Amino acid sequence: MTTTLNGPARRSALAMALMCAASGALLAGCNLDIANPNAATQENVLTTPAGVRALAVGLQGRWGNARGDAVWIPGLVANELGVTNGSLAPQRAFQRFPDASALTPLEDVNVDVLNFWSRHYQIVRTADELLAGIEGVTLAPGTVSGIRALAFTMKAYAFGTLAEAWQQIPVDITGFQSPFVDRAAALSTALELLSQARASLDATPASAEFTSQLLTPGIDLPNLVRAWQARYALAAGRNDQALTFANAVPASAASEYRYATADQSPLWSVFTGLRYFSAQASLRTAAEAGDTRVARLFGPTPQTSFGGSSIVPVLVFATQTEAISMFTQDEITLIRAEALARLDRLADARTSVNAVRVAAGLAPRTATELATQPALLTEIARQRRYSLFASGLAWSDLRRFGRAAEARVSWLPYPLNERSGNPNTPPNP
Amino acid sequence: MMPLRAYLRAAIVGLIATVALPALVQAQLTVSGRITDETGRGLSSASVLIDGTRIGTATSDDGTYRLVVPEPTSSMVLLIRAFGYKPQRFPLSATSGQVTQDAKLTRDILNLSQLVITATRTETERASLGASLATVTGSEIANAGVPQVDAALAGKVPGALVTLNSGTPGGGSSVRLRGLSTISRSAEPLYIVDGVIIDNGSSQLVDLGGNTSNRVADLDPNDIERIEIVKGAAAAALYGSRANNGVVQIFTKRGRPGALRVSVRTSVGQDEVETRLPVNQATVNAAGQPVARRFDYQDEIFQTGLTSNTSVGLSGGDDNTQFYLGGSVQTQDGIVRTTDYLRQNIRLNVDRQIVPWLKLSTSTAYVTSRANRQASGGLVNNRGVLTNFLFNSNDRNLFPNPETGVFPLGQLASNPLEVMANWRAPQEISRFTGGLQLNATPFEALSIDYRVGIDNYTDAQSSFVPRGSSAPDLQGGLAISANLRARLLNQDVDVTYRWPTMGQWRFVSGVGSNYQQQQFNSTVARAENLALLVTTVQGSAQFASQSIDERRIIGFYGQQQIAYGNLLTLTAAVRSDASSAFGRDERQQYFPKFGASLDLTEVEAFRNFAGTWVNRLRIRGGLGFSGEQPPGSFDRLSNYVFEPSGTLSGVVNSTRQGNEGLRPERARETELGFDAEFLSGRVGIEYTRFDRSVTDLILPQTVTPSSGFTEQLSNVGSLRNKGNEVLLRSFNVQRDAFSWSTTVTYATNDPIVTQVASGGAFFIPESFNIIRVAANQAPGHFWGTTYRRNDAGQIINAAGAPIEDANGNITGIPAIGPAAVLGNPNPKNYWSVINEFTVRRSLTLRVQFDGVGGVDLFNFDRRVLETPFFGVGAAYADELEGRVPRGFFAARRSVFEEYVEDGSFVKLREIALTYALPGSVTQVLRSRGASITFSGRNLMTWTDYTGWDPETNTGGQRTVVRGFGFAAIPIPRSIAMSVNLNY
Repeated sequence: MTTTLNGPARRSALAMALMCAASGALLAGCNLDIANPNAATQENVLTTPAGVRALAVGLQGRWGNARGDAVWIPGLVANELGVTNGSLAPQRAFQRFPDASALTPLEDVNVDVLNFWSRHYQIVRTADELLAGIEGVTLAPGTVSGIRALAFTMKAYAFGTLAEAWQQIPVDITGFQSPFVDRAAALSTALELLSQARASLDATPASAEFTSQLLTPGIDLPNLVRAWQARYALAAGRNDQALTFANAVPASAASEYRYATADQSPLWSVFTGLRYFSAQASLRTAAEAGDTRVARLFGPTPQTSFGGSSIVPVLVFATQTEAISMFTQDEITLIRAEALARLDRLADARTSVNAVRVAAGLAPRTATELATQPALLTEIARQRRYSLFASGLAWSDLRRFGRAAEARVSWLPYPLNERSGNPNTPPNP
Repeated sequence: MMPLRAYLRAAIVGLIATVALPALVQAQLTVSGRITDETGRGLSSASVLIDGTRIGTATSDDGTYRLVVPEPTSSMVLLIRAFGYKPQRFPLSATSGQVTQDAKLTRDILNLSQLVITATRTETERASLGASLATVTGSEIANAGVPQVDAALAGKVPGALVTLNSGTPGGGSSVRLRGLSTISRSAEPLYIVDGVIIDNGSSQLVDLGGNTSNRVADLDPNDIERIEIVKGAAAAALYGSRANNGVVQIFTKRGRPGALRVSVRTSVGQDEVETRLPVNQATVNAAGQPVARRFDYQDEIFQTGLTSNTSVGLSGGDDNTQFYLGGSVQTQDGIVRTTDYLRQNIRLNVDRQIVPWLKLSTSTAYVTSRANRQASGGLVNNRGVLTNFLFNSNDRNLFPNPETGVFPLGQLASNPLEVMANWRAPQEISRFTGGLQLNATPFEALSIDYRVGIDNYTDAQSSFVPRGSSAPDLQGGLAISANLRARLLNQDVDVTYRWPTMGQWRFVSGVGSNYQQQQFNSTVARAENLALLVTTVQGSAQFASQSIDERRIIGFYGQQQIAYGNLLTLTAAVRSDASSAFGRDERQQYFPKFGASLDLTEVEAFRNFAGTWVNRLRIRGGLGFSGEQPPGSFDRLSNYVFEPSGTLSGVVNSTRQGNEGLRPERARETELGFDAEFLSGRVGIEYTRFDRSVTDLILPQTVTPSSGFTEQLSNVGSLRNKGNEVLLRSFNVQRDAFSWSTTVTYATNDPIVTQVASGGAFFIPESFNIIRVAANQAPGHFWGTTYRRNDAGQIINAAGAPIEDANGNITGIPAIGPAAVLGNPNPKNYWSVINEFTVRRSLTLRVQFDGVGGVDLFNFDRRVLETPFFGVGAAYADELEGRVPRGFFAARRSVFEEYVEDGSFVKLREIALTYALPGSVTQVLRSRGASITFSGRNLMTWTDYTGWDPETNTGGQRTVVRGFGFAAIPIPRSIAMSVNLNY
C-alpha cells in the first residue's frame, strides 16, 4: 500500500522525523499515522481484495437497511398504509387522513425525509466506491464481473426508488454539490446502469466465489437485473423494452433478501416490533372473496386509527429474519400484462393478468369484462395492489395509472440538509 | 597510537578528575548563620545558596545553617530564600576560613519572589513572568479537609472555579480556569505531577445516572509540596495542543539532607447532608381519598458517614541521596447509605546526586481505591436512589413486606430502598505513576533535563442489579463489568543556556522537546436475565464490546528570555506540535507566546512619585496561543463500520466523513495585569484582565447527504471569553501575640459562543433537550418553554386571563408560551474570602467563605417533586389541599422557565482551628512538634436555590452539561478532628 503525500504533508513528515530524533522517543514509535484498531479505514478497504469483498457485502446490507423507508414512506403517501397512532409526528406527516384536521405539514426538516434520501445515497456512495476500488485490486474475473454488476444494480435501484419520490435527484455524484436531473433522466440512468450490469454478467458470468461467498443468499443477480430492467422500463413508459425485459425472466425465477439474526429486518421493526404502521382497512374490505393473498397479508380486526383512518394489522414482516422479495413472478407477469395492455395487445394482456388472478385463487376475468384498455389497466392496478402490497411501488403505480392526485403529495420536499450544502437543490414542489 | 578503549578510559578519568579533584586540593570557605523572620523566629527549610551555582544547603528547625564552599572565588553572592519571604543576597568577601552571615527576612505578601517552572520550563521568579501564574502550598491542600486535591483548590486561586459536582464519596470535581474554552472536549486543565502528565478522565463505563469520579481523586493531598496553576494561553503556550484549559502542575514532597523526619497525621470526622427537601404532607390524594401515611424517604436514604485519614511521611537523607516516603489510608462513608470509599496511597521520591554535575530524581506512586457507589441522577439511567426518591409517590409504602422480605416495585424506575439493599456498583482503581528525571549541568550555564513519565491505571467499574429487582424493566437482573486500561507516557528534554551577562542584561535560551503517547483500552461486558444467584456477568442475554483510543503527540519548543536588571523581563517562545489526531493536511501546528514584565519600582522617578505608599508595582502582559486536541484519536479518518448482509459480514463507510483537515481548537489570549504592594508590604493586590478567543472549535457539521455522508467533525465553531481576576491579601495585624491576615479572590468571566456550524443551534446529547449551544449565546445555556404572558407581563391562562388574582392567590392554570433562552449556567463571578487569625503562635483559626454569583441552575428535582404523578414535594400539597386550582401543577410542569432558578450561593467552605501543643507536651511525646486541628467543611450554604445543593451537577464533569440539578448527591457537611505529630 502506498500513500502519496502532498507538499505540506511531506514537509511536515520531514519535520516530524527530525523532531522524533530530537525528542529521543526511544520507548515507542514516532509514527503519527496510527491505524484505527476499532474500524477499517478507507485505505485498507478500497485497496485490498478482502476490503473490496467486504464492501460488496456491505452494499447489500445497506440495501437491506434502506428497505424500511423505501416501503413505508411510499406506502403511506400512496394510501396503502396508515400510522397506528398520532404521536408518530414525523411519520404521520406522510399520510393523508380522511379528517383534514389531522393533516400535519410535510416539511423539509422531517427526519424521515432526510433518512429516506440519505440511506439511498449511502447505497450510491458504496456502489461508487466499489466500482472505483475494484479497478485497483486483483480478483478473479468472474468475481470482478459479479461485483461490478452488483454495484450497477444497487445504484440503479437507488435512483429508481428516489426518482419516484422526488421531482429531481442527483445521479452524478460529485462531492457535496452534485447537479440534479429530472425523473425521466434519472430512470434513464437507472436503466443504463442495469444494462451495464447485464453486459458485465453476459461477458463474464459471475464466479462461484462471488455467488457463494459475496452474494447474500436468496439473491439471483442475473434475473434480478432483468426484473428491475423491466420494472424501471415500465416506470419510464418504455413499454416495448419492459416487455422484452420481462420476457427474459424465466418463469421460475425469484429473488429475495434473507435477513438474519445479525442483520434484522427494518420492516419487522416498524411493522411488528414497534407497530408504527398497519394496512389501510379498505384493502381488506374491498378484496374479492376467495383472494388467498388477503388472509396472508392482513389481520381480520379493523383498528380505528385517528383522523378518520381505519386500518388492519399487517401479517407479513412477522419476524426479525423474515425474507423480503426483491421481485416476484407476480410482478413480472403484471409488468408483462401492463406493457401489453399499453401496447394495445389486449388479449395477451388479459392472459397475463388472469394468470395472476388464478394464482391468487380467483376466477379469471372474461374477455367481455376486460374488453378495453382502461378496463385492463384498472384490473392490473388492482392486482398490483395485492400482489405487490408493501413493496414500495404503490406511489409509482398511482403515477402510471393516472391517479397521482390521490397521493398525499405530488413529490417530497428536498431535505433541508441537502439544500443547506448544495446550491443546485431545486425549489420544493 | 592509543587504542580506542584506553583513550576512552583516559578521557573518563580525566573528566572525573576535572570535576571532582579541585574540591580536594583547594581551600574551603565555611559560611554559617541563622535565618529568622521579622520577629526573630528561626525559619526552617530556608534555602542558602551560592548564587548561580548548585552549592547550597537548607536551614534546620531553629533556622541555623552551615554551608561549606569547596572552591571559593572572590565574587560570590550568598542567596537566601524561604517560601513566603523576600529573598536576600549577601556578597561574600572572604575566600577561606569561617564567616558568619545571619539574615532577617521580610514577608513577601504576593509571593512574587517564588521560583516557578510551569510557565517557562526553567526556574523563573514569578515576578519575571508576563502572564499570571498562581501557586498553592501543600499545607493549604492538606488542611482543606477534603480527600481530593482538585476539590481542595476551591477558593484558593482567583480565576479557578472549582465545582464539586457530586457529594458521592471519592468523587467528582471540575476545575475551570478562566471559564470555558471548548464545547466538545473536556474542559479540565492538563495535570502534571512532578513532570509526569497524568490522566484526569471521568470515564462513565457504567452509567450511574451521570455522576462520575475524576482521576485526580487518586492523588494524596498529604504528599503535595506545592501546586502551580497556569491559567491562560499566554502562560500555557509551551504545552501546545493540550493547553487551552490551562495547566496544573503538582510538585510532591522531596527529602532533605539531615536526620530522619517523620510526620504522622490522623483524622476522624463525619459527613452529613446539609439540606433536606420538604415533602408532601397532604392527608388526601389526587382522587380526594384520605392517605393513611406519607413517608419521607430521605430519612432512609441519608446517613451520617464516618471519615478517617491516616498518613505517615518519612523523609531524610545525606548530602548525596535524599528520599521522601509517604503513605496514607483514607476512608469515607457516603451520606447516601451503602456508599463508601477507601483509598490507599504510597509514594517514594528519591533524589541522588550521582556526580556533581548529574542528578537523578525519581517519583513513584501507587494508589488503589475502591468506591462502593449507587446510581443517582438520571440523564440516561433513571434507576438511582435519589432519582427514585423523586419517582415514587410518598404515600406508597416502599418498605419490604415483613413476611416475605420482598420490596414493592418502583412506581416508575425502581424502589430506592431496594436499590440500596440489593444493588451494587463498585469502582476499583489501581494506578501506578512514575517519573524519572536526569538533570545534567556540564557547566554552570548549561542545564539539560531529561524526563520520562508513565501513568498506568486500571479503572474497573461494575454494576449489579439482582434478578427480581424493584425495577419494572429489569426483572431479569443486570450485570455489567467494564474495564478501562489507561497508559500514558511522556518523554521530555529541556535544554537551558544562561548566556554570560552583559552589564545589567541577562539572556536565557531554552529549547526542548516533548513526546506523548497515550492509549485507552476499554471493554464492557454486560448480561441481562441473570443466571440464578450470580453477581457476575452471566445471563441469557450477553453482550461485550471493546474500543481503543490511541494517540501520539510530538512537540518541540524554543524560548528566549531577556532581562534588564530587575526592571524588565521579556519572554518569547514558540511551540510546535504534531499529533496523530490532527488531519494529515494539518499535522504541524505552531503556538507562539510573548510576555513582558516591568517593575516600575525599579525606576527612580516612579519611586519618588509613589513615595512610601506603594512599595512595589509591577506591570505585566502576555499574548499567547494554545490548542486543544480533537476529541477522538481517529476522528480524522473515514472509518468503515460493520454492515452485515443476511448471514454474510461486510463493511460500509461510516456516515460520519473523516476530515484530514482537522486541526486543534485554537485559543488566542491576551492578558494584562499588575501586582502591587502597599503599606510596607502589608497589603498586596494582583489584578489580571484577560481576553480569550477560541477558534476552530471542533463540532459536528451536517454535510450534503447526497454525498453518502451525513456529518463530519470540523473546525467550525468559535467562542470568546473575557474576564478579570483579583487577589487581595492583607496582613491586618502582625504582632507576636496576635496576627490576622485576610485574602480575597474575585474573578469574572463571560463566555459567549460566537459561531457554530451551519444550521445554527444544537442541543447537547443527554441533556433532555434543555441544554443548547447557539451563536451569540452562552455555551450550554438552558432553552425551553416559557410562561405565556400578557402585555403587562402577567402570567396568563389559555383564555388570556391572569392566573393570579388581586390578592396574589393563584386561581388559574398557566398556558405554555414559546421556547426561549431561560438561563446561563456559567457563573459570571466567583470569589472567596479567607481570614486567618493566630494567637500567641499556637492557636490558629482559618475561615474561608466561597461564593458564586450570576449563575442559573435548572432545578429538575423541583419539577419532578411537583409533578402530580409522583407529587413528593411539599408544594404539591397546595393542589391537594385546594390552595391552587386542580391541574395547576400538571400544566406548570411543562413550563420549563419555572424551574430555572438563581443558583448564586455563599458557602462557609472551610473553618479550621489548630492548636500547636506547647513544648512541655511535645517533650513528653518526644516529638519535634504536635498540633490538634478541629475543622469543618461546607458547614453552611446561603442560597435562593430550592434544591439540595446549588453546587452539584448531574452532568458530572461534562463540559457543557452544567448546572443541571436532577438527583445529584449533595455535597456533605463535614467535620473532623486531626492530630499532627512530627518527629
